[in-house]
Amino acid sequence: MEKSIKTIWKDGFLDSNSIVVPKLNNLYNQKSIHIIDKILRMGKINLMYVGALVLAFLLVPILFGALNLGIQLFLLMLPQLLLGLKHGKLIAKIDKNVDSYQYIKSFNNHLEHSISEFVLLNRFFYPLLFLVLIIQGRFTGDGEALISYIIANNPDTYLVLGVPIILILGVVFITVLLAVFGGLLYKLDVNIVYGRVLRKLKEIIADMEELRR
Amino acid sequence: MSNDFYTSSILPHAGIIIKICRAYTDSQEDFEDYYQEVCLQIWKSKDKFRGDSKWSTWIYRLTLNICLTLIKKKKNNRQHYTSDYEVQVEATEENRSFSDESLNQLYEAIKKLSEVDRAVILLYLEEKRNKEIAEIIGTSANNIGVRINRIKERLKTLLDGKID
Repeated sequence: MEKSIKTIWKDGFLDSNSIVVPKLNNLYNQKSIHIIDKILRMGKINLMYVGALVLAFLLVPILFGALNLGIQLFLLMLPQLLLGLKHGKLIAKIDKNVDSYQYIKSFNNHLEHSISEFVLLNRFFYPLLFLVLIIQGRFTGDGEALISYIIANNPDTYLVLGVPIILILGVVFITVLLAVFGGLLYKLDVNIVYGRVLRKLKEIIADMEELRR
Repeated sequence: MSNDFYTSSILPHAGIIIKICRAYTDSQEDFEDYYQEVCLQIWKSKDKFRGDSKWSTWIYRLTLNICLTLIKKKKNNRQHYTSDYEVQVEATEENRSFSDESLNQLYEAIKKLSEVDRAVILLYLEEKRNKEIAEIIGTSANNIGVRINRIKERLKTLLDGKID
């Protein structure tokens, strides 16, 4: 006998087994997994990018005949890669046999620890990178030309190892600035790349904490 | 989310939430995810409810919006480009969520409708008046009447004449 869709609907849902309310104890499990997977994926891509950059910092100057500069830049970049690899391994060791809240909290704590170590590293990285480039530039034709120009315009300037003191002070000033703001530059970089997912991670943790109350 | 809020404000409407979530998911796992997401969003958005409509109407609207958003996200994630009007759903064992076989067949047919048509027919089956359906979907009551007739014809074809 033919039935109307309304009859099928009503009769079907008369059976109380048709409406089984899912348990809410797994709230945020999927969300936690998704966000952590996303951050880990982004981290891997970022690490590959840093690896490529380390190689480029070594090879590109060598291709242009600047072996010393290549080695210095390589040594400067290498800690970024090593620190990234170290934290990648540590994150993989986080205990997954706990509930999703504990896991996401451990992950977040580790991420914050990792960012604080990178901030510290970059307080040295940016000023050192600047100094390496300046010292290398000092011995180029343009560097010599700049020094000659300053001396010609300020004949009474005080020289340190043949470099006008004003130039040295300028370099020191910028180096100090980079040391102070190197961490901020790194945080800015992190914010551009990871800002959205990190905010999402914080939101999820906040929601989970509210749910646990 | 407090147990009180869940018990007093969500649970009485769990039936319609479940029925809607079932219509937009193909597996038990997805269904539970959608249900949980709906409950969470109701809890998180409860302060935005201004009483302009009935609490139940607000819940229907929220549930539909969340299901439509999640289904879009899922499509984007899988880069699965299917027509809005012909979402093909495999009739797997997992899809057979209800003990009543006619109801399962009806659900399979509903899942083949466009996302908006699914929303309209679910509300129609829940005895909502055209005006209320129109309010939830965001269209005119006349449009809903015409649309329901068209959907019923389509379901009749999909169910191969097993219904009136």
